[in-house]
Amino acid sequence: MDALVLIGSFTVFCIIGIPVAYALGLAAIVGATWMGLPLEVITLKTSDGMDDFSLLAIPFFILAGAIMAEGGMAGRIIDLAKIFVGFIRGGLALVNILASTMFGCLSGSSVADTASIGSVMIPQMIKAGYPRLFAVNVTISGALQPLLIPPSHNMVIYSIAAGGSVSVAHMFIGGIIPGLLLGLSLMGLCLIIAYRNNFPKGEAMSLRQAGRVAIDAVWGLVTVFIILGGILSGIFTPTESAAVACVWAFFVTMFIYRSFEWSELPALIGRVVRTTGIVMIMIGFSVAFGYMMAIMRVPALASEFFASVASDKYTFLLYVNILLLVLGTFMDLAPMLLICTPVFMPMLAKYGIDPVHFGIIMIFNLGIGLITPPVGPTLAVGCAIGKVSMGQVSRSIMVFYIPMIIVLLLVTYIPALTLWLPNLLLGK
Amino acid sequence: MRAQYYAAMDAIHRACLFVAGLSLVIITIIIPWGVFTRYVLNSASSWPEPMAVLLMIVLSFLSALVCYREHLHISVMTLPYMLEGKAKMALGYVIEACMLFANLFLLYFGIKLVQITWNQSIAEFPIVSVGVSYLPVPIGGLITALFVVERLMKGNLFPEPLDPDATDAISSE
Repeated sequence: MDALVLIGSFTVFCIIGIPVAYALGLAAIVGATWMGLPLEVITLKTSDGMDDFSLLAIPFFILAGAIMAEGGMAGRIIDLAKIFVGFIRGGLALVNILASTMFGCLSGSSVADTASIGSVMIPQMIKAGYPRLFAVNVTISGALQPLLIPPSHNMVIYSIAAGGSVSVAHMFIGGIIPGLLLGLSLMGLCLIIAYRNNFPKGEAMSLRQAGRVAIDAVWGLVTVFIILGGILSGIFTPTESAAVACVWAFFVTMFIYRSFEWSELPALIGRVVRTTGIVMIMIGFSVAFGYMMAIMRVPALASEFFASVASDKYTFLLYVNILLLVLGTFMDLAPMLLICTPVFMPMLAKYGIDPVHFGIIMIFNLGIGLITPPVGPTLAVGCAIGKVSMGQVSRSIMVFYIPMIIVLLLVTYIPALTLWLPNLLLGK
Repeated sequence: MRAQYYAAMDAIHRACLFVAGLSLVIITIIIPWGVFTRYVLNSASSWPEPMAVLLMIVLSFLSALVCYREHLHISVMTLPYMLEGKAKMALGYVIEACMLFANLFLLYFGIKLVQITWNQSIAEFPIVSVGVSYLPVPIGGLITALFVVERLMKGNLFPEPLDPDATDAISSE
């Protein structure tokens, strides 16, 4: 009954349209009142939830990504991608996907990727003769990669939601192969569609031109070496690497590319502040909500339920995937991570699932929810840029779900795809 | 009177955005400074980390209230968008009543938290009281409550539908 009060009140608050962050806080207040706990505990837990040095990585990664995305990096990455795949049939679709892969190394934001890559690629693709809906579908499908490829701030959120027991560095490295696999599978699909519909070929770049484009883009791509190199070598913590990446991204944008006006900086900082505000207050309230969940034995009850329906880890993972795919269509990635992670975490040891592996499954799965109606921020931004309705995209994007679900199943049932690389580079 | 209240809220909104932005900039400078002192000057500064955490709490609460005023927080809007007319307005008032309660809760219990911890000092940062680190809680609660009152007065209970030309939408992802 206790758990029903907490989860039920949260569900009601969400359904009537209260912001998810405050719905978490209000449900925690209802729960604490129901249990007769002193209400100060909710304020204390909310504030303490934000009092964590590792959390700083979130605004830093958002800031570094925003500087690179708005400072002319998107165009340079697209040009770089054209060197490798631009000349193939359906080349612009492949460029779109590959540019998102590389953009993922800088940003970690699916929406920023859609806005940055989409605003350049969708008009280019339409001009070259690609159908508008196909251009939008390719853009928003490719935009899932930044969620998996380091530095994804969602991995920091998962690590925090898991109680700090999961290393951010392991999550970062663990996402690389699943992210690349997703990119390759989407490219495979685009190639098939391109040959069936006889989409145009692009032009190959001259060696001189390719060299110039590569050198121009490499300044920005150094950011990923700062982040990963710093973490892998132990020079920086993930938080420090994110801060240093911000400084580097700022230096490259303002002094090397000179593609951003100083007068535009306050507006950029303002946008980062707003994104940070959405995430951080949700983290704070989710800590209070998580505390109440623990007191009301929600994880234990969920564990008992899953034990009764799933006897082995394969069945468990199948149920979890179905559950998250359904929930992900209604809610954003960050709140789902913050709510579901503490519930699932105690079950992982019982089923013999590595928390890093599970984190990548969750982020991948919930990422698909970002491009499914009715609540899909990446889908919404893609439709706005491509000037198409959500209904049109919802029907035409179905075929793009196939490679996503196949790769999700591969990542789910072959743990080595996630764990091999971090275990090799960082140890177990 | 209404116009003055709205103007005051505009000013508070701008001030909060400015302080939150400044906090972000300062944090972004002092953490690399800490790395610099550790590796280049060979004398690690102890103050950047606790100061950054303090500023992050300020950033979090102030940016959250900016997001509230601009209808940016993530909400499940399926039910509100299904309703029309009076039913939708009634639901909007229920939502804002809940928001007012949540923020007055933060104000009241935030003040209590500050009072209790005011005479304790932060271990890594002895000149600062623990109470100071909790101050953004009641301040955030108070200002958001003022914004809720403004929203109720204006009656703009729901966000505008997404602008079809918008390409810089703000999202947690």
